Formats: sequence, structure tokens, C-alpha cells
Amino acid sequence: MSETKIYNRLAVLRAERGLSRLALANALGINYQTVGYLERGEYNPSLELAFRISAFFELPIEAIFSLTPFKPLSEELYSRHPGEERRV
Amino acid sequence: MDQEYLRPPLWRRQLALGKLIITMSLKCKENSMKGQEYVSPFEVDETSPRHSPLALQRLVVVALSLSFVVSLASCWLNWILPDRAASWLPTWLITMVENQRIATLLVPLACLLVCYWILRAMRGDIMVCPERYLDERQKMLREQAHGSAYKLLKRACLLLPVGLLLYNMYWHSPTPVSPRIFKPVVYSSAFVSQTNEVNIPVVDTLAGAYQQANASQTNEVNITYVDVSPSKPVVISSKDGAFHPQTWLSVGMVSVPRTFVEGQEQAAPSRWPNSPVSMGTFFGTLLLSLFFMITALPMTILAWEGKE
Repeated sequence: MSETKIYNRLAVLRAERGLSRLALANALGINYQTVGYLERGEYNPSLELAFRISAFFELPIEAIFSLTPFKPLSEELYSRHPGEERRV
Repeated sequence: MDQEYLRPPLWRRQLALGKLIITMSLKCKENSMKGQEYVSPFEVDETSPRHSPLALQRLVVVALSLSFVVSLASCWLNWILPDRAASWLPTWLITMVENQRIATLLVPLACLLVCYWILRAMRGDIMVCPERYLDERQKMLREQAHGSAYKLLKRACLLLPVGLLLYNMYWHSPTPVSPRIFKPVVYSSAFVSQTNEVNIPVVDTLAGAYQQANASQTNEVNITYVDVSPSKPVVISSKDGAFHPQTWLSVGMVSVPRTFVEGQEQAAPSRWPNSPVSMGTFFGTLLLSLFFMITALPMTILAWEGKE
């Protein structure tokens, strides 16, 4: 098992969609405890599971998983860089 | 008035007791839930852990391991008891094993079985469940547990020959005992000294166990057994049934009286198990102990590490 930690946004995406861990686990065909392990970053998913998660949330894999920590979504959406117009 | 008449029947009392236990357990659960911090509705799936607490799991693992060790030790004790290899063990232990051979074999095995079933009920979900019901993380846990168990067994198998070698070098008396070829000679009020010149285990006048000695007489090894007991006369069993004072003098038994009485035929110390039933019990216990421990080994690793 690789020691590299893979960060993910599973908890945020699940909360956005109002899903319980059990519901998400059933949709993905995994144990509900595995969802908890994935969210806490204690278990790195296989490539197949990562694709299944990506397909379920209809998002690209890089939007869900990353090798570096994610910035908060609010910061990514609303932070203004100098000379950049705020998108509405 | 007859007080017994007023008492409710037994089934009603048992029912009431059952209700009381259920109510108390529900109260306890409710009180423990009150102490918990607020949990998001999305986390509710994980508030009720499926597995027992880690301390309890480890307790079962310790109990299982102890049962296995005791089971192996009882097999070993039953096997070596006629030899003087057991001379360093306490007398009460030897007496207990000798008097209750079957019980000393079966009780640890029963404990092992109970612990095995408890562990299986606790952690069987990953180890026993068919693979199609497991997800990739659970399969990975199972494989890791099997891998760790394999490593442990590999080390044990490598250490086993070393242990046997040391045992044979330092403790084991290699001479087999057969009751048919030995004829006993009984000495009344014999006194056995403690001298030892040819590296033979020293005779213990207080122990009620068998003493084995190899003595050299006219260039051949004469195998002799002495039953030493404080209250009984000394019994010396030799191959030809005759007493050779010089033999015993040569191995250092100084104070053996010259007068002796030919004893009636009696069985010399024999090895146990000596009947099909006892052999079945002995080897069955050994086999079942090994089987259940090896089967439970991956579960014990999972339970000890607390992986879910």
C-alpha cells in the first residue's frame, strides 16, 4: 500500500448532495465504513473506485482527488486575484 | 398463610428479571448517548460501531493465545511425564496431570474453542464473509491479515527445529520405555544418594516420579528405571530383572542395601498415550488446537490492531 496521501472532496460533495454515508456507499457498491475511511484520508481508493466516484458525482477526477491539499471551495470561488474580475 | 403460595411462578420471575435487565441496558445506553457530542445527520451511520471495543477484542485475543499455550503445554506434559525431563516442574502439577490426563487436555481445548467462536463472532465479518460481499478496502485488510499470519507461521516453523534441537540437547532423555522388557526388583527401605558421575539426572528421593538411569556394565548400556517415593520401597526395573549392585555403584548410588526381594511382575513406567482412545484424545487435542489457532490467526491480527 502506498504511503502517499490522496486528498479528496468527498465529504463536501456528499454534504452538498445531502447524501448519507450509507447512501453513497450503496450507490458506489462499497461498505459504508469505507466512505468514512476515504473522507478521512485513511484509505486511498483504487483507480477503479476513483472513476466510479467521479462518474457518480459527474465531475472530473482531479476535481475530487488531489495529491496536494484542496483549498476551501469558498476561497477558490470568491477569492479575488489582483486584476481579475469577479465572476458572477 | 403459606408464603410459598404467594410467590409468583418461576417463569414469571424470570420474565420480570429479563425485563429489568433490558430496561437497565436501555437506560445505560440512553445515558451514554446523552454524553456524546452532537453528531451531524450525515455521520449517523458511524455512531453505532459494528465491532466490539478494542480492549474487549484484545482481551479475547489474549485469552485465545493463553488457551493455545496451555493446550500445547498440557499435551507436552502428558507426553513427557514418564521422563525425568519433568523433574524441574512442581510436584502438584505433575500429580494433577497424571491423575487427570483427559481433563488437562480437554479443558484448555474447550477454552480455545470458546475464545475462537467469540472472536469469530466479533471479527468474522471480514475474515469469514464470502469475497463477493467485501469491498476493495475489506479485501485489502483480509489480505494484509493473511500476509501477517503467514509471516508469523513462517517464523514459528523456522524456530520449531531450533526448539526441538535445544529440547533434545538439554532436557529430553532419549531412552524409550516399554513395560514389557523391564522386570522390577523391589528394595525395602532403600536409600538413594544423589551422586552422579555419568551425567545422569540426579535421583530425587522426595519426588514421586520415575528416575531413569543409563549405567555401563561390562561394556554394554543397561537401562534401568527407579521409582522413588518417600513412603514406598524403591522399585528398580531393569531389562534382565536382576540387580547389579556394581551398576548402581558405578553411577554413584552409594547406599543401596544388599538385601533385596524379587518383586512380583509389575508394569514399569510406560509412556502415555498407550491405548487407541488415549492416543485419539491426545493427537486429536493437539490437532484441533493447532487447527483452531492457525485458522484464528488472521482474525487475531485484525482484532489486535483494531482494523475495521
